[in-house]
Amino acid sequence: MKAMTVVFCVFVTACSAAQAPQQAFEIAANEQLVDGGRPGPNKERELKDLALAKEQGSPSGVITATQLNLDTEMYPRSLAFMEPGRLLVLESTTGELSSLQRSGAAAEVTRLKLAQTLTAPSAIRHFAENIYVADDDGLVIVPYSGGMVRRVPLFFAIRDFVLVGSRSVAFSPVSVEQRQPMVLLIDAEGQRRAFWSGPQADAAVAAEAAFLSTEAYLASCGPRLIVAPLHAPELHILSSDLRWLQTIKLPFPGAKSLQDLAQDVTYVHPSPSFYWLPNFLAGVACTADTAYVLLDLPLLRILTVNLIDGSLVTYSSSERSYIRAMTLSVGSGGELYTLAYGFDKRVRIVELALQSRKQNTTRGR
Amino acid sequence: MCNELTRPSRDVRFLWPPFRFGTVAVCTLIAANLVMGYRLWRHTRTRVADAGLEALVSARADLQSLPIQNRPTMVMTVANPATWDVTQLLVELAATIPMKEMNVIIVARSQSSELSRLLGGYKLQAVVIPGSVALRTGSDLIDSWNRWFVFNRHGERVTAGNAARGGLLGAVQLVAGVDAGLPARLANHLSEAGRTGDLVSSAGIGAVNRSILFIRRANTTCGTAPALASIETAWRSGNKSVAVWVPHSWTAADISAFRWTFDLTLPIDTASAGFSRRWSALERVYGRQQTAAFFVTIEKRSVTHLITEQSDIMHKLESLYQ
Repeated sequence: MKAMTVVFCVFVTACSAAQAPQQAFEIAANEQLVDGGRPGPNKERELKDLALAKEQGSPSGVITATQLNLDTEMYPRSLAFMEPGRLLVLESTTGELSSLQRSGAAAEVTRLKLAQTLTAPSAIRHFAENIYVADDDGLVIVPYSGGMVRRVPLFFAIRDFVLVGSRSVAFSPVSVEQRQPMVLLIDAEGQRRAFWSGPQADAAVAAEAAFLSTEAYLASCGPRLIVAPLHAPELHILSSDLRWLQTIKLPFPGAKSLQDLAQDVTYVHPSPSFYWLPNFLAGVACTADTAYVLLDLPLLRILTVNLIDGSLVTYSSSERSYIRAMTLSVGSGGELYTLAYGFDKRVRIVELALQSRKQNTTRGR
Repeated sequence: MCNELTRPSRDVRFLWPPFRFGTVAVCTLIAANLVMGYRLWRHTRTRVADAGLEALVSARADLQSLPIQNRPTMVMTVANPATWDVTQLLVELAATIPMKEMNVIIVARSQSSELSRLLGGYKLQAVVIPGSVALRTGSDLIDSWNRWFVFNRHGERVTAGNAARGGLLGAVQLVAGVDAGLPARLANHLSEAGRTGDLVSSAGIGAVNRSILFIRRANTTCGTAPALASIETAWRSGNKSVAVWVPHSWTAADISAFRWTFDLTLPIDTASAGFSRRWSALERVYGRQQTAAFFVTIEKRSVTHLITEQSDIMHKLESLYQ
């Protein structure tokens, strides 16, 4: 009897042990996904953690984050502010569009029916009763109240886009293995009207992955177009016809060490099919004369840029409730929303409130 | 009497370790294994739940019940999931796997040591289909994302290969034993009832032999870009053997933007409405709505090559331009 018990126990132990590597793999796979799908040790995150730990002085303001409690499960990829209390959300897993009606910290989700199938949708915007969605096949324009869906083929995969005026769209393409314009401007018929190649090739980035440096988030502030590159701590301000006006350097924790990392060929181009650069910015949004820039850090941090005098204010959350955030949307009344990855590997829709701690601002160059 | 009082009873001896240490050890082992057995039972339950992944091929709603880490970014549609048709499923896979976004997060589970070895430490793009697992893997240790494998229901590797621009159609062809650029069912479908002739006649090229790259979708990140670059280079050097066609629905502005994006100087023709419509009908039947381009060779009023996979199109172009 004892012998049978021992044999049984050994069998159970062996079976359990056999599962361990698979479970470990799953955890590792999920970690990678949350971290942007990058394999191997993430040196970039280590450098950012180190820089934040060494950071001295407190930010000019604090961020209070309020997570929206949804009445259904969602996996948002992009969001757009519609009107006070109402958001549009694009889901990545299904390509579905939803409308969120806020009621305090809760939000009611209404799925919107879309006649058009979306292929790898990346971003959503709302303007004048129309919903605009970018996917691999171009731009889909959906009247919010229903009606005919229109598609404008763009022939680029789109990183981000923004409406400029009432009849133009500026977009930043996803980079492929050759340098592309940072921003293109098209009219309502899809005709190219202008493009901006971006700043001159930066010697601080290894040439092998330099083509990636053209990807950017976009925001429109009246006559100005704000261009926030993913891989540089700076903001470019263009006119509505894509003429360069100004570049503002942004303070970023550990910028120097991250830029050194961007020069390391073994990191930016580790194998023939892999290219990447350290991420600096994770989103941008704009009101009349203020740009809000979301930094790509393992805590919530936003820089506000006064577009009149170029002054900068840093807002930061006091605790690390989220791994990182991406996408920023601002309402007409200054309401800020972002998507934040939690430590439970889930993406949350989070409202951000910025509160000044002191009137201590720094000026951008 | 005295002996009876001092001699420990059987129960007392059981409780006192010096007399039955082995028994206590066995009890401890049993307790520990109960815990581990419970974990194994839970894992087995998870595996059973993962059978629900198979449901994703037929029921989109089932995805909502899956935890996020098991949720895929694509949904496959199978006409009759009760009959296992790996060719058809993989054809749909090839059409639906996004090449840009590497966020497919279904994790294949297998007791196969080979599969486990392949998974260890790798980023993984995997889809579980009834009785089989199709994988594309990648890591910082190997050269590309585009190594693919197909495993059977027993976890044994059926076939493997490299796809230059992603996709699994190569696997389909090997599994199905077809070496043309087309899965057997679609090839049969085309050859039935004169559909090939129908396609040729809709092309409106008469008796002329032509090679045509018919672009349905294009963007700079998908596989059509290198094919277009190859044809443009050949065109500029005087080789005009391949024509580029676009759907009938494209406007002049669309074609202009298309030219601008890919820096094309070669002539671009709009396919006839009948040609576009016939392709759409075929795609509706076979679930390849997301196919980006078709390479068609027509000789003596017959379709001699019909290639949909981007990497195979590139190989064909390379052979033409050698």
